[in-house]
Amino acid sequence: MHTLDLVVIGGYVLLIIFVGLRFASRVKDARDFFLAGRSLTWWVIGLSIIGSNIDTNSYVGASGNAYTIGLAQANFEWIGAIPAMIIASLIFIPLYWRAGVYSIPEYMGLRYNQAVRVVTALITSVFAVFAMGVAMWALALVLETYLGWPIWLSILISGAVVGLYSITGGLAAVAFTDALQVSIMFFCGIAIVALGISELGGISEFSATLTRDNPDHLSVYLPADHPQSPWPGVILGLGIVLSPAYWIASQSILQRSLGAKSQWDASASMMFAAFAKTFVPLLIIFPGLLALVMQAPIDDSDKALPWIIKNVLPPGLSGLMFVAVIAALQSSIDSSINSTSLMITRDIRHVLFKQHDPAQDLIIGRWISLILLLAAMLIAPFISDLGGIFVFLQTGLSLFQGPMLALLLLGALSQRATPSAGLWTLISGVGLAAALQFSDLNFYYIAFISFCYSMLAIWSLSAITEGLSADQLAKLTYRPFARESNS
Amino acid sequence: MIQWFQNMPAEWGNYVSMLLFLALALFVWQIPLSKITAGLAAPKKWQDIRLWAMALIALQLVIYAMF
Repeated sequence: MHTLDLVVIGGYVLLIIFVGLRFASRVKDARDFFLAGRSLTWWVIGLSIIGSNIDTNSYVGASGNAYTIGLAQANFEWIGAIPAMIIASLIFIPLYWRAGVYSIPEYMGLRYNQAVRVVTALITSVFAVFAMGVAMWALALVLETYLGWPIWLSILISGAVVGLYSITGGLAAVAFTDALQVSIMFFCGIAIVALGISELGGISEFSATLTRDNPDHLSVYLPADHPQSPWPGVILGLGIVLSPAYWIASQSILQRSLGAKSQWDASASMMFAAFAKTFVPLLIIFPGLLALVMQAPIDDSDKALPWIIKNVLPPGLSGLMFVAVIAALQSSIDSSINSTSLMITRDIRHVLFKQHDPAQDLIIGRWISLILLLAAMLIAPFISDLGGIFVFLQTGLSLFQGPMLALLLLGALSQRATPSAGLWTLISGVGLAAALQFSDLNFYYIAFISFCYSMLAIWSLSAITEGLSADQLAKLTYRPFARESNS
Repeated sequence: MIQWFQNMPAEWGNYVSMLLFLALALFVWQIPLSKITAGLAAPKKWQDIRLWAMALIALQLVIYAMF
């Protein structure tokens, strides 16, 4: 490795440790740790949202998928994100903000009952631990490819760095380091596009070479019988179910919006993030296509991006891009640690342990963060046995996102949904999605079917069970077309 | 319904996406400004994030028309 690259990497590590320790002195209580004292401004949150979103799925998995299926992978950044982000910004974030909650399970608890809160927090937390393990493994994979470090050493060092700033500095440290990381990512992503296109003789030459051997690689939709990305499945499963479920229900994404200094900042942050999201394919799709055109000698498509970093970028910029990839993966881990710790500390502990002391939330939250980090580090070495990381994560998400979306949609936008209907729909909907995993259906269709079932179930069961009072519903349901006094 | 979708060519995905974005634009524009700028003492024109949404949707329409 070039000396300049080592200097850049060393400088970056020192910088994020400094930021983490600086914010640690500002953390006085649980509100500071989990919600940054409700002090964050819209553009910091917006960049941080993208930092958390560009994770294992994106930088390593999506680049690898783009290498295999082409531009169709970008649907995760466009139809599979933008509509849901707009709706989250204009409807759901204002609703959560006004409800004054720390988390989405807490909102579910208010809108339905405490059992729904605990079940939602449990399911999300278990999945988050696996997702952190996957992120840790992807990080180790990049370090192994680029630096030649053994997997165990990579996991140990990256875990120590992430733990230092996220456990001490809380959400504020996570948000500000994320914002810094995303700025680096975009700078380096644009450099890769410019240098890659230049090396191949221009955009026309690049397109012609790419489509000569892979005619569908510049088409945003693939045929309906495509095994991995059938276009009806992308629209129905990803666009209508998985994406809204992620953008309106993901605790790790929405937590920083709940830490905004005003309702407007909270809403604007998500809209700003959507602008950045539109250009994310330049960072994560293009390198996969570039590796294909440059005929990269790789045996695993997940290695497309590390290969590009090593072979396209000059010294210095290569180190910076390497930092950007590490940062992307770190930002997904740090966000998950903080949000999962919040859910376990408040949504599970506060409900299940009646003798809890809220004054202990900060100490317990920090201990749980450490335990979560260690769990992810232990799981990480075994992730490679699970196959493609992108498909593994999407399959996991398809288990519970359909039912959770149905509960949130009917809970937030109608007064009909009742607590009992919510609980039974959540349990049976996840059960149905789990059973469908044994069928031949693509995970997009499983998500769509479990969502449709859950909408029908909650609608029907609500007719025969008792709902909340009008007073309770007033702050918990959003009616954008109602008059001001009714909202 | 899934089978019905599967019989249509991939280009239809682009058309369906564009229709969805147009429907979303219509919906967004129906939300009252007072809901968007709630809590702001003297909201400025640029703080109407419905306009941000319109720009985003226009970008998406261009993308799905091109690819």
